[in-house]
Amino acid sequence: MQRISFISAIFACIFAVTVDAAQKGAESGLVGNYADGKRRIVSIAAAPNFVLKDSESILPQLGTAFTAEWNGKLKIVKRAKYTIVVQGNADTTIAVDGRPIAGEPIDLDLGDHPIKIEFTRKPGAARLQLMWSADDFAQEPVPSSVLFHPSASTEAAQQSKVEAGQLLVEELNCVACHRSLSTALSPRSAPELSTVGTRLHAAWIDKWLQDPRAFRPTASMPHPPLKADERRDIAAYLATLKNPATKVKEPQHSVTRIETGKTLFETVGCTACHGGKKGNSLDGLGSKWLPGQLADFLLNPQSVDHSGRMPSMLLQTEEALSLAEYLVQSRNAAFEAKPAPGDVKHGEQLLQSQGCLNCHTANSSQGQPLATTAPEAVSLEKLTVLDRGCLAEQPSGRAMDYGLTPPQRDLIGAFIASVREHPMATAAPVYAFYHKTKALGCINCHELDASVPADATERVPQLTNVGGRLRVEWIGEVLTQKRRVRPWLRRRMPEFGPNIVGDVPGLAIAASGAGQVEPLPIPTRDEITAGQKLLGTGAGGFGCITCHGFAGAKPNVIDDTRGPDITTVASRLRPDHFRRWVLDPKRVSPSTPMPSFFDGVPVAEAAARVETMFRYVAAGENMPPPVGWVDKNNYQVAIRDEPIVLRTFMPGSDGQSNFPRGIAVGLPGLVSYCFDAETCTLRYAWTGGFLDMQPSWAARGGGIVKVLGKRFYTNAIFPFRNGDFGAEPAPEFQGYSLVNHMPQFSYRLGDGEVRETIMALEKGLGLVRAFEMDSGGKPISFIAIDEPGVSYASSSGSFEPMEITVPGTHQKVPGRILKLKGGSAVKFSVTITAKESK
Amino acid sequence: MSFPMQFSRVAAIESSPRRKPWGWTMDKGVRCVEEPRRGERIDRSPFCRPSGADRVGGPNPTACAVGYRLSPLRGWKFGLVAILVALSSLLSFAADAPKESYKITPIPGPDNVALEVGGMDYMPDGRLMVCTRRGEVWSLSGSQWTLFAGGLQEALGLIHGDKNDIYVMQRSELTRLVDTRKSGAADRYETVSANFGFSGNYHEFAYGPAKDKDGYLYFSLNLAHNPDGFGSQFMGAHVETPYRGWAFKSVKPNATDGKFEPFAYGLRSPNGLAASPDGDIFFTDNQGEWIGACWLGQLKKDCFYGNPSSLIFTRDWNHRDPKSVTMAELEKKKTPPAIIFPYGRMGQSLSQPAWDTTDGKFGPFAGQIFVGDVQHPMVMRATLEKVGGDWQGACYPFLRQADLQGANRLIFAPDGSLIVGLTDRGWVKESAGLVRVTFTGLTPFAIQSMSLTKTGFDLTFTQPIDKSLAMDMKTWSLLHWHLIYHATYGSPEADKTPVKIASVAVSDDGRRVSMTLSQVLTGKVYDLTVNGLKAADGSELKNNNAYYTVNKLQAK
Repeated sequence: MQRISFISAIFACIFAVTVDAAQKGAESGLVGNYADGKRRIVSIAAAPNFVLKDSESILPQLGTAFTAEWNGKLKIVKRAKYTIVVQGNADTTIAVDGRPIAGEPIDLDLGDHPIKIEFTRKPGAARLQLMWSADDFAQEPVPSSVLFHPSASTEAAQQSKVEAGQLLVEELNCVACHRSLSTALSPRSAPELSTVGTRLHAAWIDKWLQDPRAFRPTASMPHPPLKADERRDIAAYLATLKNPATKVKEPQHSVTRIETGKTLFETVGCTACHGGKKGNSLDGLGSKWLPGQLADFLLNPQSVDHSGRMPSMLLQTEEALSLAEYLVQSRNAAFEAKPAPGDVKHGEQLLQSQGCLNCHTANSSQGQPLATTAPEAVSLEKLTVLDRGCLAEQPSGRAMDYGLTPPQRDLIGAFIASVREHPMATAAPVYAFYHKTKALGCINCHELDASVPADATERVPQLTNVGGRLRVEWIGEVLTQKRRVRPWLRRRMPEFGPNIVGDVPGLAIAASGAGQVEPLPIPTRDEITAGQKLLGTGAGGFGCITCHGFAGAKPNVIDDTRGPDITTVASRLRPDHFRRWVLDPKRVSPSTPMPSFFDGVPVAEAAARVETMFRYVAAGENMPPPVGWVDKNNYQVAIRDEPIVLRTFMPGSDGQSNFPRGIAVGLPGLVSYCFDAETCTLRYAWTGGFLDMQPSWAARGGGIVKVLGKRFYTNAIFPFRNGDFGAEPAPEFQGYSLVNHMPQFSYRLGDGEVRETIMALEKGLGLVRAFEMDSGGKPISFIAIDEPGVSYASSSGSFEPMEITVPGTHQKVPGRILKLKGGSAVKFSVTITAKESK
Repeated sequence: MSFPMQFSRVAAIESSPRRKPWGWTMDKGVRCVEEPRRGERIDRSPFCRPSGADRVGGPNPTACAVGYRLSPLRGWKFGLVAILVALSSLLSFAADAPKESYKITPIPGPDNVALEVGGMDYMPDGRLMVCTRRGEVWSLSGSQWTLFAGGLQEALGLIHGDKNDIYVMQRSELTRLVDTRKSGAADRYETVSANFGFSGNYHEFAYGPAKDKDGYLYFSLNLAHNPDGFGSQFMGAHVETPYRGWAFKSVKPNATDGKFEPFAYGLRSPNGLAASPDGDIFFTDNQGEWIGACWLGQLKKDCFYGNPSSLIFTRDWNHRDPKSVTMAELEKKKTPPAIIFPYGRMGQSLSQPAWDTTDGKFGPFAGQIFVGDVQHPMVMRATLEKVGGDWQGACYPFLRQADLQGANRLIFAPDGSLIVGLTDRGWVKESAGLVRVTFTGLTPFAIQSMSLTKTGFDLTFTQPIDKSLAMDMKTWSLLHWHLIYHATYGSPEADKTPVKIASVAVSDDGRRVSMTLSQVLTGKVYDLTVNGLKAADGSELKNNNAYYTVNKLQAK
């Protein structure tokens, strides 16, 4: 442990130096100079990476055909021979220290080295990813932490104003009234009002309409130009919008809940947006909500606020109640006035005519969507005088008062001036990624390039190069399907839902410049065995399961999980990232607690071991457990030195009906099969792990168990026929004997009897079915359907081709037949060999 | 694993529905705690910790209470404990007589095994065989556990065979396991009968086997958790999986030809099939649809026990619409249970019954029936008597203590103690393992039995009673009620009616109270509460309830 901290400390120093250097007259990222013939934009890029489709550009204000030039400095902290290349489009040039390099290694000294990358977009998809390698590390994306540029670029500063202005225009939803040609904007919608009367009372709404910022200084709701009686009427109308079905029961007051709620508030991540002076204040909530109602909102905020600015924190009901109880402790007396009666009918008209519904959505109490009747405002691009209307110092007339500060008005002005000539109308995924991580508050918790969250009390995964590390599917699952692999974190990754997330996973990939993901290999049995050893706790193992969970269970040694479940690795990480990560975790993330296992190990040897680990983890959910793994619940049954026989509810063959009378047999050598006692038939065989008995052994049990491994053989037919080939015989299961733990099945067949032992093929992947039988005085045949990927051979006689009717159907398929003489002591075996993929 | 001392707990006979305050003193030395109830906090002694918090293996049944186990003591703690033990044993000699009549001791199970007990039986050579829900069969000889068989499909019952074989009921079949090599482990798994439907529905349990006086074997089949046309909310039977809700009997003794025939039906969840010492077969069924409360009955040929789902497998069914079956038809067909166990007070999921064949080694209840419960941590008693040619009788509380949580299987050991096999996974928690209930020699003052007379009921007590208290009519509260026969889950105790006791007489030896009633009604449970009765020596009555099911009256 000491060693680890020491290493961390060293890296922390290096990191600190980097940051220092960047701060002294330098800023992180490269200066990007982009032009499309009509317009030139200078903007800072964390790294020059991108993946673009035909119709996409690097910036939303540029066309798809553009040129790009990135300038800046490369920080070298270790003198070595570096090879710097660009992956993706070949027609990119790089110059370091003013000299063009064409993929050849260059000696770089400690210090800063000017770097320049030039790229010209041609029609079609495009990709660029800046990579480097050196003697002591394998090829990796050049980390954004070593790229920086001298500060004071006025053009770039102007562009950041435009980008900041865009955020404001979207947050305040300016384009709800002032239509815009900038189709790439994603304005924030305002809360749904259809059932607002269930949540809020008229007096609060009235006060809120009078001055939202008196309740919440950062409110994005403007102060509308309404008279007192108009406000009362709207409030009275909104209070009638109720859904009786959603009536919330208020909980019993509880002091313990308040304490629990406070702890939750401070730990799960609420403070990332609602903490500090700049955060969205939650003061006075007790004057707005009753705890039960607030809890109801917290459990599913997006049913009210479709914008996703308040995501679901995946709270349990009790947690939501606790949090609500805590939050309602704060009151705002000014918002607790007595409700004044208002004209409901007039309120409904006002809601439609005053522009409320430009941002809000609402259904009438009859369930009809209400539409705005407010006259349309001047479109955004036509706004030429930028100190009038809502942007005036004192908005008047129909203009809304957003309480904008002069700098905010300046940013909005910069944005409007910029898009007036060149609207943001081209899809620009890299730009959108950085923009969205700001708008959704991702960077409030996650590190992204040089952006470090203010509140970093608990380390959460960084977003730097996230698209180059994680699979796009996995990012999607995290964002929309509540998949989490770090149960030990107190801070929670919120759930935004598919509507808000949209193509964020795709944007992340685009921003990383990462190429296609290589397909996962299907590991051979040798590779699995070697991997089991490497990840295990025995001799020659790295003991990964000391910290990492396996197959949904906690790790063996450390009480609480400290590393993500190993069986999720294949579905989470890109293979290239997995290799880099395991080879040297602290290169990727200096503050990770994961140690390096290959210090001082020759590069080739280390890479070979990492490759073995990779091929093993590629089996994913089907991984048999590493050596030394103990499943505390004993749900995962692993085969060790002897065969295991387990009668249980076995899953069917490829979605067919299950085998409740299944007998699973696991053989040493990672080969297992399912024998169906109901029909006395070998049903299928697989390689890899054995069984996860959790569905049958946990809780009430009795569920279909999970086969762990890859199926290599499936069989739909009972093999024996005598005489008439049409009729399927009805064998009767007699049980089995164990000979050296190996089951020998017995079944009666007409007047005869069969004993069958199924063994693993000694070389290669496959099975040997050994029979001893009394055919009941008749000749007998063994038949088999030709299954893809397997071949049959017999110890006596040879198979001839034959058409076979699939049982239970009239379908005829190619198969083969082995004709045997029969007798009272027939002995033969059939070998089934599968092609084992490398 | 070794402990410097054997902890045991002294059990109290349940005194009332009130539960004992928990946390107890063991032999004056070490304080241990039992599992906390919901909402309560406990201070754990340094010697106890939750099972599972400190181990790598599976649940270890060497628990000091269900769910807690002792950690080995070392160093000065060991010394201190040893001194305390020595002191306490001296003290207990000095104090002489035990204070309680029964004590409960955990029996350490095999290491790292979830011993979720589905069945138990003794082999002729004295080995205790235990089969589990995870499909293993373990044999216990002394304190040595040996794996006899594995890989079975939820084994919920076993009986011994002739010598080196046992019969085990799996979900999918009745199997004979034979140790042909006499190695201590079975090497032949013979299918005896798999001739019933089995779809993979989790509730399709199979129970048994039990062997009657002539050597015939029986097993019974649970309904599926999948409703059918008879109006049940949860359970049902379906044509694809024949004979759910039926009990089977072998055609030949020991089922030598593997053939079984349908024997009795109308069962719902008959998680208890056992032979009485006379070799009659009894079953318990669990409350649910059509079964108003848990009950015990004798399994008799062609009898129908109330849940109609099994009707679809009767020979003359002919694809009838279940809705055409009338209540009158069912009422007529139905055989009443011998003893109704009032729901909640007397368990919620009865286990297999066991007969006290210890001739007094287990206390004053020789010949009586003991029944456990999977939901509540309790063991109950029951007595049967033949009235009008059929068995009927009463049930009584016996022990209720956290250690008994999950009492699924009971068996009397050759030494006269009662072994209780635990499992309640999926219903309550993850109880597992064995506990032993031993009679300390101190006869409890309890209602020994309640029996029906021509004029009322006779109550027998284990000790002479205080006659003056017995003659006080306030001592006796009697009422009767009945269950409602319907498709709804369970039944209220309907038409609760106080019963006026005309007169009370006490026998000369002071052990029997005869109650005379103006009339006794059939179809009723007579629900007796005894208030404040003491023994002649002043002992408090600890079990003060008895529930008698009257199906028939004594001939006048």
